[in-house]
Amino acid sequence: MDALTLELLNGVSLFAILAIVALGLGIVFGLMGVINLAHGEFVMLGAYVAYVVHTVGLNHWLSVPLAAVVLFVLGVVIEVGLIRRIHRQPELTILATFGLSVCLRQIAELVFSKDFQSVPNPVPGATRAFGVLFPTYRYLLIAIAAVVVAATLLAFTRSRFGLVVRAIVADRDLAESAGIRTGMTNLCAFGVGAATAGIAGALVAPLGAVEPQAGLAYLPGAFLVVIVGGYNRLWGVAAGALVVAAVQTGVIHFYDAVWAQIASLALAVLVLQFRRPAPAGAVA
Amino acid sequence: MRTLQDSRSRSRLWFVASLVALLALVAAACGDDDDGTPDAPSEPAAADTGAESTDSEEAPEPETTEAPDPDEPETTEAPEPEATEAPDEPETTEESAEPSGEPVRIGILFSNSGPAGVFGPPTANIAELIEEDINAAGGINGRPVETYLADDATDPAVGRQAMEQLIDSDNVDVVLGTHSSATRQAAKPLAEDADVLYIYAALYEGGECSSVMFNTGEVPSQQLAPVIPWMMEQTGGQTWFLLGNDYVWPRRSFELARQYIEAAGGEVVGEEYVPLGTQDFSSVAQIIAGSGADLIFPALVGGDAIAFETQAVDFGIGQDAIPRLANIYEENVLGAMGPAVTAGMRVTLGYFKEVDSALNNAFVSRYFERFGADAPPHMTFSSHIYDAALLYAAAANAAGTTDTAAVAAAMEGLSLTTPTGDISITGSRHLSQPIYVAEIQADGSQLIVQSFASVEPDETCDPA
Amino acid sequence: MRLEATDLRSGYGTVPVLHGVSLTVSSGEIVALVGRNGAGKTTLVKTVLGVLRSTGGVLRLDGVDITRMPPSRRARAGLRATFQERALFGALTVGDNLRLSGFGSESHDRVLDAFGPALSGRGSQRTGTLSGGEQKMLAAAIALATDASLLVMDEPTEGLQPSNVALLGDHIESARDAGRGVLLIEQHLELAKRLADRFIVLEKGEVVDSGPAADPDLAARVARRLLI
Repeated sequence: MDALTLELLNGVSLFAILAIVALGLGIVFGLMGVINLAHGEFVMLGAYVAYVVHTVGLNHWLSVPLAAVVLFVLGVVIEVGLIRRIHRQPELTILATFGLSVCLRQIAELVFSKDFQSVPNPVPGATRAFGVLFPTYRYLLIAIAAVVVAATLLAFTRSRFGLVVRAIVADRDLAESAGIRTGMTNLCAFGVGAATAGIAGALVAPLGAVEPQAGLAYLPGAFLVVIVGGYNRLWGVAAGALVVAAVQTGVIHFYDAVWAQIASLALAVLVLQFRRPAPAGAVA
Repeated sequence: MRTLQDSRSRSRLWFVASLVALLALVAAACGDDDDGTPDAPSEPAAADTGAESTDSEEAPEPETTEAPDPDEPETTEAPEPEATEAPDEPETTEESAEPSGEPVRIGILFSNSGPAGVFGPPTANIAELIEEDINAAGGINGRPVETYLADDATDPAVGRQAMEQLIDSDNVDVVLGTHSSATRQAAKPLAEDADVLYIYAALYEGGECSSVMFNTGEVPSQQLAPVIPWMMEQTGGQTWFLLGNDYVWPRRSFELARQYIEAAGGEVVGEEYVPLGTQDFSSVAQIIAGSGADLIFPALVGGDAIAFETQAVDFGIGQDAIPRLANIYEENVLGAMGPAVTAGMRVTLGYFKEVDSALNNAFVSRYFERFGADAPPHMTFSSHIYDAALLYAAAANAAGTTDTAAVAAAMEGLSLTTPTGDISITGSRHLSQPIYVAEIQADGSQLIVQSFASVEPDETCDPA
Repeated sequence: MRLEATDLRSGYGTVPVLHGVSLTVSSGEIVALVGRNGAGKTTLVKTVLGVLRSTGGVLRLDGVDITRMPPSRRARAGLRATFQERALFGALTVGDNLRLSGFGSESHDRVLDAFGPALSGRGSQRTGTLSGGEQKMLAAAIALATDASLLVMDEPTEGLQPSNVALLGDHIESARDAGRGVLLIEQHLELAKRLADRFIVLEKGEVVDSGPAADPDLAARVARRLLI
């Protein structure tokens, strides 16, 4: 029973990490049709914000809003300087964001060196709940990720802004013709996407290495989630994270981590096979 | 509205193309600035150093040939003990004054970017000392040496191109490599086709055998055969959990570890592999916790190692609960984990900068004086590259030529004493070398708690 | 308010469709744009609205050059269209479509009741589930209810019941009478004749004929061109 509880908690924490990491990718892809290959680097930079906050001696939790702000600003700058000029051509956005990812890695290397850094766990140790010991930090991570993901998704689905976003996803030209400034909405969406990546980076920083290459490891998981969850519905990010986390945790439990990875990739392939090609909103 | 995109794409294509090109340029520029060493393989690493040493010759005496850098004469007294190193080299040293003539070109194929790029900087620093020390000792057959660096970006395809660059454009006489096995497999055919000697100096899974290759890095049999029984004796632990990244080196390491563990009366109670780039170890941690293992042997690299160890503590399976024997955790990774996580871990490798010998102490203090106290620390990868260069120089001097076959013949059985310790090339074209076990201290420093001299690799090779 | 196109050119990819179209639509007039399928009527609508980029010529709204303006700015300047296809967000509710065009919930009923009971009280229905005719009515109702001073309506009566066609005609006339300009693309020649002040005939991307609707010769020529 305890083993099952623990495995459930593991699954939930993996779900939280996957969802928060993939959230920005899903927003930017779903809304703008931009495949942002630099998303992992946004996460990496968020982790470096946490590292800097630690280095100057501030409280780790401060890095969560700070990373959001820093990455929002960076996202806005990148949208204006790069994405906005090419977002209607998916192939070009892939090239450009790939170039951007290389550049961001190099800048991180220039500023922080390529050494591995780390952010100490602000709440080391485990908490006893549900009859088992589970790391305290992960409880907090689950809570914060849940709040951020839910708030973002609600903002995108329940508000006037969310309505505008859905309209743009459905038919950009029609939205424009109705007087909706899609450019402004794109700017906000890209900024918010980057900001959530920053939050993700700050949250996962104490769980692993902070290094310029770290983004490369975050990107595949985020893509997996977005593919499995579907990119034309923003709640798909949550659904995708849930499915991937369940598959991963389950397969690791019954087989091993290598099969878990193979299983999630196979899942993505299967989902792509059975999904209608080119959802209208996402590409056009 | 595809057609709208089409009509716009042409007018914007040039813009985006130039933007991407600009980004790539900036990226390349960042890369160059980043480490003071040439990334571009074609750049002779120290053309000026060679010229300077011509001026600063003084005497053929081994002691003084330990060339003080002309720029920093105050370092002269420091390298004193290293003079002992010169006599270890073949007799040819004495006859040579300062080297002159067409330089002998030493290529160094290493990972300076990508996931393993973190290991690059110390190797780039060592390339400078290689030139300096070999030239100070009279060069190779009276000729000066120049080093040429080429970065494989931790990518076999790039590694193959880098090897091509070294061989075809830089015309190197020998390639010293410290990079992944994947890059070695991609680059080796080029060395074989061009008949260029290729000394692979990174620790690896073993099994390489080629007429142009020597493999001087630690192989699992060396790192594990003596250390596993020692570890069990030290800790009293009998049962092991083996956790590695999913590729050939951890798998080969665990295959051998299992033999040594069972031979020592122990038992493997769990063996798990995780994909490279794994970030969440919660489920794995639970498996380990449930295994009841007394000891963990983690063969994880880079960020995976840091993620596992930092997460393991909170799951109650940290080093304080289950002792580790690691075979790749090096200073950079250990530093990022932090002493709270690492204190007490044992690491088995062929070199630590803490090796306590007069030769090594002098070498290490010279390294930090030269490259700064906060320079990327000299470590097993850079040390093995240094040793490989000295082995090559000694063999080429003994052969009196840089002809690949002749030098290869001279390599076999060659013995040297270097900062690493006593090393010699075995008949299997690997390296008999010391193996050290370091224990991480509460302040994060590494203390060598055990050393094994002249550990023979369990390898066979007959390339003929 | 006066929309003025001068030598307007556009097309899809490398295929030109409009070969230099000049026309004006002023406040208080209904201009009927007629022409056979493939003449370039819809292309002209898209180019005027800005969702298709012009490759030449100038578009002015009250003398201001809007040729390079994004569609949303044209819309905010008072230019409003009902498209022939995909005129609404089918995946969203009727109410959401109204909200997107700037109608607060208090005004929804007024807009929906414009065509009688057909759309009344259906604000929470998914727009894509309305019938084709209902969608046409909704799109026209939304456009007419906005404060846009220039309306471009692409085949608004297609698929409508005769009674609703007449009703829509009345609405368009009252828009004209309120001082708004209307560019009406209409296959229904009878309705076009009833509503229009002027005719413009488009053929193969060029204006081949135009004149006051009252001119009986023009009406005959238009009828002939559309029949052949």
